Amino acid sequence: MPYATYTTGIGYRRDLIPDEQIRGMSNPYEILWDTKYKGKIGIYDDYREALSMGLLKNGITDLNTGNPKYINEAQRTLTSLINAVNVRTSINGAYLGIPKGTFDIHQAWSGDMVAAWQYTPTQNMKTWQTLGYWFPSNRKGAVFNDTITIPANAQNPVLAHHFLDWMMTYKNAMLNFSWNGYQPPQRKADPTTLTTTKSYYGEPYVFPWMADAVVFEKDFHVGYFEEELTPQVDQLWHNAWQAFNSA
Amino acid sequence: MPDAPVSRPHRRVRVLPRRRPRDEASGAWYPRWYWPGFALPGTLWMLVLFLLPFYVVVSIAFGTVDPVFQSPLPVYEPWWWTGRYLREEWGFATGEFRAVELRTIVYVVLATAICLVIAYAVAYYVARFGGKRKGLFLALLIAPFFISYLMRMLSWVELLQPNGYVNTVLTFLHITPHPINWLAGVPFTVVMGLVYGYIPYMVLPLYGFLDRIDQSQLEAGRDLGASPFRTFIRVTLPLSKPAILASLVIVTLPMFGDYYTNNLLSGSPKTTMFGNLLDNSMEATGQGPEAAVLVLFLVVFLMIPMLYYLRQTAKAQRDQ
Amino acid sequence: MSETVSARPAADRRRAGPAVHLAPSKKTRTPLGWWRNPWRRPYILATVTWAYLAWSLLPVLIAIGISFSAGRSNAVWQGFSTQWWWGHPKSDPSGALFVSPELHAALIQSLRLSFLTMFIAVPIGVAFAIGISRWRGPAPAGANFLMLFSFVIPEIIIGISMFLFFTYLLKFVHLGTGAQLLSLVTYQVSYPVIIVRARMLTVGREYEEAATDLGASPTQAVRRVLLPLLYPAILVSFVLVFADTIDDFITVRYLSGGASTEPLSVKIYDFSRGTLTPAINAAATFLLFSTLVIALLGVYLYRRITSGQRGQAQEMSDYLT
Repeated sequence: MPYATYTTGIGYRRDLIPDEQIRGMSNPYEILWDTKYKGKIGIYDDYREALSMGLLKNGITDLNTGNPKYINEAQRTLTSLINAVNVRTSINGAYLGIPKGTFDIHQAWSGDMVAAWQYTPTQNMKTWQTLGYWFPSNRKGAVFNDTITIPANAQNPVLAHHFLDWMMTYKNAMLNFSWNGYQPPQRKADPTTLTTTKSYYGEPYVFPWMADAVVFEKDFHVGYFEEELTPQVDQLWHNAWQAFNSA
Repeated sequence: MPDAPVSRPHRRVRVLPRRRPRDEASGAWYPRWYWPGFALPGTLWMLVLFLLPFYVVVSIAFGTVDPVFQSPLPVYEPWWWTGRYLREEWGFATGEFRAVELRTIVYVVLATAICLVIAYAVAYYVARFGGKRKGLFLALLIAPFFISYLMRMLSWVELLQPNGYVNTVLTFLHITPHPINWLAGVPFTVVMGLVYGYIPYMVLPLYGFLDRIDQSQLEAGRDLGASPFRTFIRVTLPLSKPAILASLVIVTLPMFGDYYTNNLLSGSPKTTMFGNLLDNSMEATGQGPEAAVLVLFLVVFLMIPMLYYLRQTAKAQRDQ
Repeated sequence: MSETVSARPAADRRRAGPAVHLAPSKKTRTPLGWWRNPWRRPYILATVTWAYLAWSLLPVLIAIGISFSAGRSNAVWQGFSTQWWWGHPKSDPSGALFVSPELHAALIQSLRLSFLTMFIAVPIGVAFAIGISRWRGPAPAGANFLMLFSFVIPEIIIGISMFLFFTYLLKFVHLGTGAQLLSLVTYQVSYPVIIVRARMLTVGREYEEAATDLGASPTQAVRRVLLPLLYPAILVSFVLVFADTIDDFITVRYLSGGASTEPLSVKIYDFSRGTLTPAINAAATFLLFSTLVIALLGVYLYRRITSGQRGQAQEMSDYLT
């Protein structure tokens, strides 16, 4: 059952990089190579996400490609990041590192940046306004969703079903969204109102300056979905990731 | 043993039958199965839970892959072993992973050298000049054994944060103009992290040995006219060779498989060690054979110093 | 010797050692003379030693202090508070150490694994040490090599081989507490072996021989003579195995069956790479305190057991020499 939908873009500090700068770039993925923020740039420690960003930066739109040429090119792109900006990998650098100042720019899932306000050292609107998220305006970027599943050998399947029913109700899903940051696929919710409706915490679900983080249903038609790879292709991706990691 | 007739006539000495074989060394009697019986549970445990898993690793490394799911199939019969994964990983090991391997060796050698210098100095001081405070020193030296490796690394992660105390002190003393980001792929941090983590294991064996050094040998050196420095070089150091070797084995071999120091102290691919490659293949799904082959490579690599160490200790025992 | 004492008292006074202060002669007043003076105090070594001890222990003390910090930052101390231990920290919803159910479950798992490993690994290790020390023949060399190898091998190798072992061969052992226990004991069993063997080397065989000469059976000789002499080493093994296991995170991480079987050390490791809150400091400090408690218990038992033994050993050595 789909639990959370999200897009993968770039989270950044709005006070250091103005929104217009990143949106005005012809290839905004290149902001990751900006040497002004050397040592403060991060990508995800996940082979699919990181290599997908490399592919997208090179203009390849098939995020499940098995073409060794594209994969190796993406890997070389990522390796060039190491020398250019001393890139680091992390899994929570977006929602923990950016508010804390460890990172200035980090590859980010939309939900990470939406929830990042909870981790700023000072809790006021001024600090929250420093958090920004970018995703291509034509919505042609990486989209994906997380699921909740009940395994076949579950010990309490009935209770699990009840829990799923509970999680799927509109009220509980939106409550979870307020804390989690990851948008639940709910028919009743209108994505266009997320930047204005107040959440459980009294602030909009998604801050207006982070409007790119809202996920629309049409994103799944327009955007690039990460699917499961065949084992042979998976091996290629994994080898490229190992090569990047052993730079 | 036949009856031994004595030369005196009309007398026959009856030799007592040997019903109780004497243990030559101690003169006490134990049944033959007695001591092996003590060692049996431990040996069985090691055989089943240490050697057998290695065999499984070897079977996976030399095994095949399920054609549909590409999941590794261990091949337990040695005559069916295939070298496919071995060749593939050997290609990686001599190609893409070369930088990592070289870096690991450099880090380990550096860290061990620093460890040795500091640990020897500390052990020497405490052993020879500790005096009344020896108990206190010993307690302080043993303390890190009770503190988990994680906690010790964690303390450094916190101290080395951009707004941590290390940077505060450094900028206060004007040693550095602005705070340095120690945790962003700095090899110095990783090497010092390795030193910090493993040095207690080196201090104690060296201390134990230096504590028991025969004072008369040192005095003999002094009596023969050597300066303290020369006494150290010519008498103490050669005497401590076995202890140094032992502590090197205890420290260096685990360091080759260290991956968590790098993970905690540096998030960058610039400082990955060989252990990180192993850890990455474990965290990815479907990389069982790769993990198995890399484990084999590491074990074979580590056997060399192990066997050298065993040879040295066997030689030393024979010399004694 | 006495002749030399009366004949050359001044020279013998010089041999008393570095603790004796001599009236500095003219030679030692110059820097080179000071450097060359063989009886000067080892200032450099002393500084190095104290610096090493400070470098070794101060960071941990600071980390313990930060676990009582009133703020949220892990790097600086922001006032005293026990909010990360049992309070409800206002700035972090995930909770304090004794309150958060996740950390609480991990704590129980840590203690469970440590106690079980301690009581399995030490008896096996001690028995092995006793057997190996006395056994003659080629076979013990192989077993000895295995033990030594398992002591110095990087733990990740044991972790990976155990994981592959339990997922491909012994599939009936599911990943979880059982698998974790088996691999922890495998890794720890060499620790008591080394400690007890070292002790047995110093103990020697005379006491057992005396006992058997006096008519004891082998079992009695071991139980009533050898084992009591080894109690200190056995106690030390218990404490060290406990300390080593409660901090272990490499093997158990690969073999954990789910979030409920992850001990506290694994949680600390995972959080160290990301969510650094002082709650993690509190968790690590708790592990340290539990190790200290076991160590103090060991010291207490040691004193109780060996108070009689020290007398016995003295009598026996007087009898034998």
